[in-house]
Amino acid sequence: MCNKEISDTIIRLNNARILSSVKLITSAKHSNTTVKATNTTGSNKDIISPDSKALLWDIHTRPYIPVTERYKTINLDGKKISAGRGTRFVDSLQNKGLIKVHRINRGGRGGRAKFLELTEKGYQAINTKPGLKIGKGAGFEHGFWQYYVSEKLKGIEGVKKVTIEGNLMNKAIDILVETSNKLIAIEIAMNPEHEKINIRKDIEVGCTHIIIGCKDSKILNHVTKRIESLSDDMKIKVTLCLVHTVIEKFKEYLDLKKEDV
Amino acid sequence: MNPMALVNQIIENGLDKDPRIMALLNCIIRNPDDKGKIDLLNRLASPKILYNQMFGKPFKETDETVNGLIKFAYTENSVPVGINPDEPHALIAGQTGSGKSILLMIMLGQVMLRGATIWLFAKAKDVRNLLNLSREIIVVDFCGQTKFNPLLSPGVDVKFWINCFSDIFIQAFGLYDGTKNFLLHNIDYLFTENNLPTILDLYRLIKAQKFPAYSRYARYQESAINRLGGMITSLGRVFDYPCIPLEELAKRNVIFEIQGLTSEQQVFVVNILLTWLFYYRLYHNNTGYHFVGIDDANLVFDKSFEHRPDRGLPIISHLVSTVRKSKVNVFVASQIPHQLGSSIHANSYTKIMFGLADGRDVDCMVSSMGIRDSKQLQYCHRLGKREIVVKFSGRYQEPFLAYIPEVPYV
Repeated sequence: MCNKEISDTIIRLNNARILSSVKLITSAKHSNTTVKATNTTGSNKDIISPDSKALLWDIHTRPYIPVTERYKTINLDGKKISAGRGTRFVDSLQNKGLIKVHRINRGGRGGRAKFLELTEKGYQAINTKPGLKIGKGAGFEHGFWQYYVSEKLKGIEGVKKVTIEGNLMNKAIDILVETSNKLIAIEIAMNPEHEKINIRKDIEVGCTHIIIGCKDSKILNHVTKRIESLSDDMKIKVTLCLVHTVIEKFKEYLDLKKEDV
Repeated sequence: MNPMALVNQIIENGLDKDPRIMALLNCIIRNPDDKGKIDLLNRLASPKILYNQMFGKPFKETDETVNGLIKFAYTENSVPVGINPDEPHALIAGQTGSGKSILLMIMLGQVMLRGATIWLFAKAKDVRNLLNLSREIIVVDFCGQTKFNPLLSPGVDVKFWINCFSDIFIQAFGLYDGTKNFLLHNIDYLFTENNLPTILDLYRLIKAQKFPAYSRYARYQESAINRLGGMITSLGRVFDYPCIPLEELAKRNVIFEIQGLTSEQQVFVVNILLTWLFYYRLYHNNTGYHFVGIDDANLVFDKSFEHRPDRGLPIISHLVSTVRKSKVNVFVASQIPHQLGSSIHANSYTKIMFGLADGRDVDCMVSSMGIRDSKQLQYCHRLGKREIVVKFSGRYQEPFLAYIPEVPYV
């Protein structure tokens, strides 16, 4: 059993997911609610099955877990989900426009993992609004990497606090890591546009080191070229890498600093 | 040492499993006058006997029969200890911080992963960690998000259920027969008017009635309104519509977090839900097992409930002995086992004792486990961390020592 804290919000959302398929008893004074999805055009053609609703709730509650893990911890129709059944189920929801499928390479073996995101129609189907999304309007993949990297960082010795969208003097940092004597900024670069400015600002607000995790090697090359014009004082404080190697680079940086001491 | 005394000591100290000692004993039996062999046996066995007397554990080493499907500990000789689903119920006694809740979670977690249904009544939020094993658990925190109506029958005759409800209500809230009959009459009337009444409806019905101030009915009404009013303040929003049918909760894993309720409400909620579940399972042919964990058993099985002749034996005490047939297993944990009623002591197949601070509790547990050996009795007073004494009522009937595995982060 791991030590992830289960908050009241998670409980509330999880209960709603499980009970979404249960028909409630209503007394005469209460009207029974029907389970229908309203599509974007406003018609109620598609009736969402209780199992679909249960899966949609799970995606809403735990947006950044891969489908394989999702299948392990939830039941549909009272049974565990096999990979084949899960894929068919996910495909049908995708065809109905309720979810989007993202494939993300987390590094290492095993290819690209599949992640699910609710569409606006998906949220309407479960009568809720986006709530647990990470990041300031950035895409799903950016949010995923913020969540994934921050979870991994929490287990590293010497790390005191990890904040997603950490705020330092009004500068938002994708992931702000605090150790006993350092502030390390981790920026996730989905495109090379803002990284140079990000580095400048992060150093100005007092970050001791900046790690920029790029989505792929193309973006890594772009960012490398763009930051060439920075001064050596600044460049020495920057580590550029691919996003799935951020943890490795972070550990290397910490070890290096330990040796310095 | 006298050879016969030595043989006795060898058996008592479990040295009869040592092949060298046994080989020597065989030689001596064949040739009792062989002083050289007797001396050798003395030299070989005496230090071991002395060591055992100074540092050894007074419990016998177990065999493989202590192992079961739901594993929770391991013995000194590293044999896993477990119970089987067809061995109801389990009583876990231990002082605060000894690991009772963790043991409950270890057992219920396994049960859940094997596909059985669990209900867990707990006062601590730590039990939510079970959600890290499976997300298929509903957590009822009695804040109104998850509503249910315990007034609705589990499938038994409504009048019979009304009797049970009234019995549990008066028992939990300390009322007497007069008020019970008054309640019975009112609930019965409520069902003739409305087939889905709530406790709030009952409160309103009783409050709307007018009796002469000097009459006994006015007193019954006063008592009923007082208790129902108190309950509605915190539980009114839980026992309301639209609500989840309790039949649905009976099919799912549920954690009931009762820490926010008053002690009387806790007694009422745990008793009414368990009685509901027991009758539901008794009157419906359920195939799978249902495991119920109660983190503070004194709430339900308190001795004092069984010693009130004016209120009769609690329904729950009687049900514990009958639910075995409907495959309901109860795992109860208690800090004060000497205050538990005899129903749970008598009906627990498995008894587990952690370290207990109060001598009365240790005495109660050792007597419940049938431990009579003086060394074992003494040892029960100084159990270490994660050390437990286990006693099964069948399979392996000797009490034995075991250790709970270290479970980080629970």
